[in-house]
Amino acid sequence: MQGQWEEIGRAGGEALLVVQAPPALLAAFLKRRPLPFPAVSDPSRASYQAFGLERTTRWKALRPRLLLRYLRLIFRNWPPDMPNGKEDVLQLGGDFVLDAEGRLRFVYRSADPTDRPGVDVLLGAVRAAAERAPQA
Amino acid sequence: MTLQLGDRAGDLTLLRPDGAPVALSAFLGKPLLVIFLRHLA
Repeated sequence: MQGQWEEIGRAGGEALLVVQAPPALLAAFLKRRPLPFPAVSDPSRASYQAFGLERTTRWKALRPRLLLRYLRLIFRNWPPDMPNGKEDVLQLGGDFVLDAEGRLRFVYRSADPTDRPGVDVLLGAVRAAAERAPQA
Repeated sequence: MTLQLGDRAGDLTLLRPDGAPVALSAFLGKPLLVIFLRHLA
């Protein structure tokens, strides 16, 4: 994992993690699991809404195919963190690339709770944004 | 209003782990991969 973040730096970019948990929970998380890039909190989820990230439904979240993928993720990251009651578990995530001026250059809004783009896709988007000439 | 490709996204305000507000634009200067996590736990 560490190598993948270094690859983002080599591609000319940086990363930022946004969570909906309150700052105190984020700080506690970072003590347990330090990250090689900054992380910020948005308990209001205003930024989630601005980026067009929706909530899923319990019905969609409980599809057998997703439950199997969940179980794989849980066992891969054992022991799992327990729900803290401060976050909306139906909120979907996503990945975006902004260029140096803050313009949105890549959009990936998760279609379901386990849907994320591949690392190669993200690295390609960062490289493309780095190669893009600044606009007048 | 949902941001679209090409829109500027720098004026959103977020909170650092110590609770201090910070603008998304503070992290710009290089291409920025913004990862929105569903939830921490």
